[in-house]
Amino acid sequence: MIALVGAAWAQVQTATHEGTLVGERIEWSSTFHGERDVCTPVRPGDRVLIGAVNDGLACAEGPLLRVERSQFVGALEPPLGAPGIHRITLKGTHFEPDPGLGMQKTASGWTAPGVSRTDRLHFDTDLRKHGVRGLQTALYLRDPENHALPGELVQSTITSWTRLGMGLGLGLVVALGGVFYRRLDGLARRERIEAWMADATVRTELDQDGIV
Amino acid sequence: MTTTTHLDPHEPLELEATASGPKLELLDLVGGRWPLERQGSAQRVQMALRAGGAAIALASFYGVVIGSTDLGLALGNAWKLPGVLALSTLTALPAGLLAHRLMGGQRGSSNLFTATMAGNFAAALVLASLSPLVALYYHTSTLLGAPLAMLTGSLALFVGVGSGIRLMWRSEELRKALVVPTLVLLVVQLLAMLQFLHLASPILPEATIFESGLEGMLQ
Repeated sequence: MIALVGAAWAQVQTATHEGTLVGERIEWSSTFHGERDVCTPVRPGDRVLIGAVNDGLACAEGPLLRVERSQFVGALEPPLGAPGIHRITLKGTHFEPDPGLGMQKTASGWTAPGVSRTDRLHFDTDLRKHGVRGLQTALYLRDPENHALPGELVQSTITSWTRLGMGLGLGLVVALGGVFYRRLDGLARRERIEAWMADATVRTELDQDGIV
Repeated sequence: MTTTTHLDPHEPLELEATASGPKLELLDLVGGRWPLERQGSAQRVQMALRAGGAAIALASFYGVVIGSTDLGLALGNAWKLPGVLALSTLTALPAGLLAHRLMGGQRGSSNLFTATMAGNFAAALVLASLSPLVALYYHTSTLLGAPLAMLTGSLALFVGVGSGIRLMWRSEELRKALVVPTLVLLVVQLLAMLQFLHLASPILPEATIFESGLEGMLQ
């Protein structure tokens, strides 16, 4: 039995954990993918949507296992423990992992030691194939142990509205610049004509004086 | 024998084009030369706007290049870097123009505007010209991409500031009251740029000191 479970665990390749901050709780929705039967350790209170629980282990007879968990705000406690690469995302808040975890900050979030850029790219590409957006900030872990991730939940002052405002500001600057440029056309042409006439007049006078 | 026989409004455009070349005007600016001796203020402002537009396009190109290791980052950078450049300039210009007036400058506002935009253009040109090198290192080295990107950014800033100051120095109207407007422009634009970089982060694939804005840098 243990050997069978061990063999099944080895099939877990990727797991996504989507946490949503609801009041004082984080609601987790986790999906495990594998080539065939996949398993993950669960705890009492976890809801297994696809698969079945046996001796603290949720297993699915197929390549997909889905588990939901609810926790109080604090260290992140998604259902980790299965081997493979795990991707954790949060809605409604940002997470700064404890420096002791040794995670490295990247443009796409935080990466634990052992997860390469290629791993991340493959993971996100695979997610996009399944219609999941891979552009949000995420934490990537490889073969995580089944315990909480210490860190701090922070509310960012930069919202998507701020960025939208910045984008609109740029659009406005470009548009107004274009309009202003067009409005200066007539004036600029007049300046050119005046300069040309002044040049021509000077040349004529010089010519009449026999200097040129 | 030269006489003013015809005044076709389109003719002077062609004459001017042969004198300097409208496309080369911007490169003249980068070289610290005012393209035409008898250029009116409307022409100068138009030239400045062209320089600004070119700077925005070049900054967008550089943004895509330095974010090219991540599709989302590259797409975001296509508007983020131009946004940082354009909005920080827009933030700094009123203060610089006001300082110019307060220092007794009666004329030359269009020159100050042009010099600022020329500085931006020169900086963006440095970024764009070095972007292949940055891209090469980003895709082949795990350590040197980010330092090189920040180095090119610093170099661009240095060249942009130098180019702008050189142009202002060559303008009769600005030389008399140069120091204060230049300082005001520089300080306000740099402060605004740091905060816009903070708002636009992430721009590089790695975390940098600029991500947390001036507040984070001082901590």
